[in-house]
Formats: sequence, structure tokens, C-alpha cells
Amino acid sequence: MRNFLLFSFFICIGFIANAEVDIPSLNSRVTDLTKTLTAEQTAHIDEKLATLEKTKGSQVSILIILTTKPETIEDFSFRVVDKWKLGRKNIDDGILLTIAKNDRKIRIEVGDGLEGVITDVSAGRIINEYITPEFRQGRFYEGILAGIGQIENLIKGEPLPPPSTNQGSKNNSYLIFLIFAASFISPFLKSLLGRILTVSLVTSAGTAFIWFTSQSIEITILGAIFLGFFSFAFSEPRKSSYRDGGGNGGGLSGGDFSSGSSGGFSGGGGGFSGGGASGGW
Amino acid sequence: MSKLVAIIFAVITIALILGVGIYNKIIGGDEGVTAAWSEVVNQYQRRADLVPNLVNTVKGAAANEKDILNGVIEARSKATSINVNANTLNDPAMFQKFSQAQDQLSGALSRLLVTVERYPEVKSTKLYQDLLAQLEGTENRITIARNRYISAVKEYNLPVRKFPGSIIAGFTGFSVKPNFSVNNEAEIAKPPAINFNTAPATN
Repeated sequence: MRNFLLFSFFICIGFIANAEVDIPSLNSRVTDLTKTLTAEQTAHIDEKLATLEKTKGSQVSILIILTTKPETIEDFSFRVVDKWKLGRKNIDDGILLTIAKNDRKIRIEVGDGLEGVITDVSAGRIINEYITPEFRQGRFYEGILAGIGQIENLIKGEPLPPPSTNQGSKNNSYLIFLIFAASFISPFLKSLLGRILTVSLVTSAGTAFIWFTSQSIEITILGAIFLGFFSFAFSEPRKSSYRDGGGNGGGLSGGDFSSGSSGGFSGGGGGFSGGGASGGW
Repeated sequence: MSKLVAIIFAVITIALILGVGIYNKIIGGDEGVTAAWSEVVNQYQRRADLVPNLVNTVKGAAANEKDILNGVIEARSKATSINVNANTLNDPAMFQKFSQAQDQLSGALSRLLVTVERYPEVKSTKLYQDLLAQLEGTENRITIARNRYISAVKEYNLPVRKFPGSIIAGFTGFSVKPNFSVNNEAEIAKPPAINFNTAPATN
């Protein structure tokens, strides 16, 4: 086991060595992997961005890394926003300011919903007129503050839907519910229709339901087999008290159920399609 | 006997449900491809709209770069003369033509931008810088729109080509959609020629 772990560890290292830069996990509004900003500076920027999100709902985030090589900053920062999903869902009001310190490159990535107010031209001007002059003198904190200030001003002028306080999360536990429902219905149906007809009815109805909710052939086939087995077992005449229920669900839930956010700051599901501008200093 | 009937009934029901499901999946994929394609065309159109402004801005100061300017204008009119709609997706030859015309415009534009580097008086104007920011943004959006189209087509083509789906697609008249390919593979494989002595070649 330990050998295996060690082996897979080295495999991972091998992958990292010649692959693109990894996307850091999103834990706070300011992700500084270069230790350019002091703790107070980070806290101050974070506070400013948090206030903006509270008043306007838009999520603005900052990522400072050493290099994006071998990718361009455009490709890298699009990969980041595609994963982080800054901004609210369907309003798409997220912004990412990416700074690649060793490459001396900056990019402002603008979410779909803000492309009208922060056009490529205005993003380019924010970079060239407010951020890069400060960066050239090594004043990163001042440059970032100036850039955020401009972005803030633009967003404040845009009528956006007010921020909401509650976040609805999608519940994907329908499969467990379905198996329970099947196990309760099967004995009743069995007394009316007979065993075989019950099994086929419950299985086909359940399969249809799984298909329309999951839209995945693999999950549907697995679910059909599972349901068939369960309705068969639960309509068993003699063993009606057979309620094991232990290992169910586990085999199925590996499909496309995503885990929720893990505290701290996380993206709201905003979409991007490449708006914004890049620059260098 | 009745057991056999019930089993056959169940099998038919499941097959029917799966069939309808796969058909719906193909329809959904088809819609996704059409939407992604509209975005590609939309962004190419946006670029074509920027070209006249760009050419006019450069024209004044760089009048003796006629070849390059004409190349851009020609490539633009060629690219916009190709009428594209949702039916283009069912016509691989048309798709190829559209994609090639757009690639030619990309090439002409990048030659123009390289040329402008030699004219600092153009480069430093605010108008040119703003146009450049818009052009860069549009090129970036084109890349992303193309990537999204590629993955939409992949998602659509998979059920159309895979086993149970291929039968249903055949019955209902859905065919595999064309995808973007690298048209100038040979050119990319060739290392770029850098010449320090003479003026840049106008190829």
C-alpha cells in the first residue's frame, strides 16, 4: 500500500512537472501565491471587495502568481474563471484580476454580465493608465488598489439585481428517495398485480424517472438494474422483514454529484466568455 | 406464459424509454451545437465590424503599406461574403470554406498589426490602442467560442456515433456535425524564419 502511494505520488509529480500551471483553490478574494502583499494589505483589499459584493453583489477577485508559462495569461486566466465561476449565476457579474509577476503581465477577466459596462477598451485603460504605472515602480499594492477602485466605480454605475442573502443548493439525493419509494410501493402493487408485473412496472417507471433527471445512459442502466433488484427483493413474499438497506446508494452516487462549497469564499456560478483586456509592465 | 409476456413488456418499455431519452439527448445536443455556433459566427462578425475602423486608422500614416491593407480588406470581404446559418453545420464543405476564409482574415490582420509596429505615430494614438484592445478581446472571445463549439460538437457527436444512438440518429436523420481543424498544420510544424538583414517579407 505504501509503495503504491509512493508510486502514485511520483506519477503525480511527473505530471505536474511538464503540465500547465495548476489552478489554485479559491478560498478568499485575494489569492497571493507570491507573498507580494503584506497581511494588512491583503486584508484591506479583501474588505473592499467584500463590501462591493455586499452592496452590488458582484464578485471581484485577485490572483497573483509567479508565472503562467507555458500558457499565455489569457488562456490561464480563462481556465481559472472557468473553474472558480466568480459572479452570480445567470447574472455573470464576476471579475478576476490576474497578475503574473515574473512574466510582468496583467489581465482583467470580465464576466458576461459586466461586459457592457467594463468593455475591453475600459479594461485596457484601467490596466494601462492606473495599474501598470504603479507596477513599473514596484508599487503593487497601490496599483491593485487603483485598479480595483476603477472597476468598483464602473460596477457601481451599472444597475444590477440586488444581492440576495440565501443561497439555494440543489439536492441530488433523489436516487435514495426512489429506492425507498420503490421498496414501499412494491409490496402493495404486488398484491394487486402480481410479482412480475410489479417488478417490471416499478423498474420501468423508475428508469424513466432516473433518465429524465440524470440524462446519463450509464447511471440509467445502473439504476434500472438496481431498481429491478430492489423491487424484486422487496416484493419477496416470505422475507418481507428483510430491510438491510446498508450498502445501497454507494455504487450509484459516484456519477455526477458535486460536493458543496467548503466554507470561506467561493464562486457563485457566474459565466465568462473571454471579455476583458491584458497588459504588461 | 404470462410471465414471459410481462418480461417482454418490461423489456420493450425500457427500450422505448431509453430510445426516447437518447433521442432527446441528441435533440438537446443539436440545440447546444447551434447555440455555440451562433456565438462563433457572432464573434467573427464582431471582428469583421472592427476591421474597417482599424484600416481607416492605419491608412493615414501608413499609406505605402497598400499591399497589406488591401490584403486585409479583401480577406474581410471574402469572409463576410460567405453566408452562414444553422444549415452550414450540415454542410461540411461550406463549413470548411467559412473556417478557411476566417483563418485568412486572421492571417491578414496579424500581418497588419506587425506592420503597424513600424509606425510609432499610429501605434501611440488612443484610437489605435482602443481598437487594438477591442480586436484582442474579440480574438480572445473567438478562441473561447470555438473551444465551446468544439466541446458542444463532441457532446452531440458521441450519442450520434455510439451504438444505440447511431440507430436512432439514422432513423431520425441526424448526422455527425463538422468540427474545426487546424488548416495550416504544415505551416505550424515549420519553424518560423527570422531574417535580420532584409526588410520583412510580404508573403
